[in-house]
Amino acid sequence: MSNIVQVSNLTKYYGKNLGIENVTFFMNEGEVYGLMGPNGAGKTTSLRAMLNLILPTSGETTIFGKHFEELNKAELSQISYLPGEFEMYPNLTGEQYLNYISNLRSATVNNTNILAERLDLNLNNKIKTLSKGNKQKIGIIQAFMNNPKLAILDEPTSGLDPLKQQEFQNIVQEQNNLGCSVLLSSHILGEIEDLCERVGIIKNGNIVASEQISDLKSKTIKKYEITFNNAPKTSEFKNVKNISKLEFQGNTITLNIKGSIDSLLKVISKFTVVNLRIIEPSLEEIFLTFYEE
Amino acid sequence: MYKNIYLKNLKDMRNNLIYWFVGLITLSFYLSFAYSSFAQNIGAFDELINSFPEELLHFLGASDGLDMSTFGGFLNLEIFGVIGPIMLVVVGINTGTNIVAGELNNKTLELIMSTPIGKNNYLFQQILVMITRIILISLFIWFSFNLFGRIFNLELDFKNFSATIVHLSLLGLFFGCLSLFIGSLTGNKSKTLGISTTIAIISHFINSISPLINSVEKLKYISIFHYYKTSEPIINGIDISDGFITSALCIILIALSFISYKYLDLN
Repeated sequence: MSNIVQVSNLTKYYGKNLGIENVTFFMNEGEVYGLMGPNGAGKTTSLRAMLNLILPTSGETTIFGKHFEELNKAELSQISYLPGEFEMYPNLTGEQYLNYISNLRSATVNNTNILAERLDLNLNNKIKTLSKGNKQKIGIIQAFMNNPKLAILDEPTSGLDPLKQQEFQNIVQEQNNLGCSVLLSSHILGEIEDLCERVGIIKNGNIVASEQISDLKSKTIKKYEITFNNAPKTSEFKNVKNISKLEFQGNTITLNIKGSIDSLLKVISKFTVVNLRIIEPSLEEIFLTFYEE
Repeated sequence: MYKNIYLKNLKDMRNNLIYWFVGLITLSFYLSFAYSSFAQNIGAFDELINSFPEELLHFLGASDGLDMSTFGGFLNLEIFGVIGPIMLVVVGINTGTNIVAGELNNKTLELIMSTPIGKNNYLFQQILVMITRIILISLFIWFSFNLFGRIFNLELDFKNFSATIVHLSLLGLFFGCLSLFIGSLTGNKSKTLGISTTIAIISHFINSISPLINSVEKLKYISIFHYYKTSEPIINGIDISDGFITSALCIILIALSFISYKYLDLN
């Protein structure tokens, strides 16, 4: 599997203020990659710098194996982008706007009507009459209407109701099955967990992790719930490594451990264990772990 | 009409151009009718006007005095002195500002620039839109006064009137290019409007006042209004050197706009 996107040491300073620093990640072809981080972490700046909408202070981006500036028109037309602050021309209808964008991309494929039907949107209304959610639907349509090879979406479900958020996820999965790689920036962790195989976590303008969600889960704190026949004393656990949040409730203890559980197994093997439950952390808990550090 | 940037923007300004056309037709009808009404008594009126202090005449845009005995001279005061330049400067500043700073302010530029259109192509097509708009509005002025001049049997020197319209178009184009450059440099709509308007006002005052004060008389050459009207095209026809200087300044500003836009962050 080749890299469709490679971002290397992308740095952007606004005067003396840091936007992003040494942002590095890659996307495999056919992958849905999530970029997570709270507002102001640097997600939008990273996407804009990737697309040369803002000029990076240093670092580079390759897309389809080429530096961004070397991409020809045909290759650029295979990239779609949904900005985080998406606005359109208020006096155009949805259909006119989408035609315009499609023409600027010199696109040969146009799935506008199919997507509009799925998102329950009337394209004949003027944009100035549309609600925030309906405007966002046009943003989603323009991102997928031309069957792009790479879709870069910044907070794509902002303003959508839960039903349409689900429909958006279906569209992303279908487009992904058709060969579209998707870079999804969001602070809605459930959305990323449902759609992405790998994620990058961005904190204060830096990527602090970029890996498979499953790997990320295995490396982070896990919660264990152990029920004993007779609960041991707290002091028995003093030599367990990387333990946190040890709680007793009758004969059941719950504790969090990061990394190896070898020392824990050695301790509990001395007692009669009735039940052992390992609770996988949610992406949200992983995310919070990075932000608490 | 949504094939490219040029056609889309042309369609966008369709209604605006209709309003301009109706407004200019109304204005030209009113002025032509008014002039034809008092044309018989124009001698007394001419005497009154020429008794104005020289400073006031400069402010009215009549550096060589006023000749109200012809319809052209009347228009030189009523249209080409203040109203015409204000109209074209406003159109120029408004159109030039919207190309980059306005679109950025409206948050519509980011997606457009993510398409394969490219920054240079975008700017090129938008400059064509600006030139088209300025030319069309200038043509409306030319057409409407020629039309009502004929209807009311008012003599208007076709060549010199056309020359004045060319000078007026170049003035509007200069401020369009200036606003485009400031917008491409700052990416900020309010800054662009503010700076461009300030330059226009200062430039007008320099041109009006500096010829009256010997010590600063040469300052008039830094005012774009000097190249617009000091040669009095309504009397002398087109001034090639003034036209060349204004055109050259426009080309320089356009070139600088391409350079600054290339390095502008589309935040």
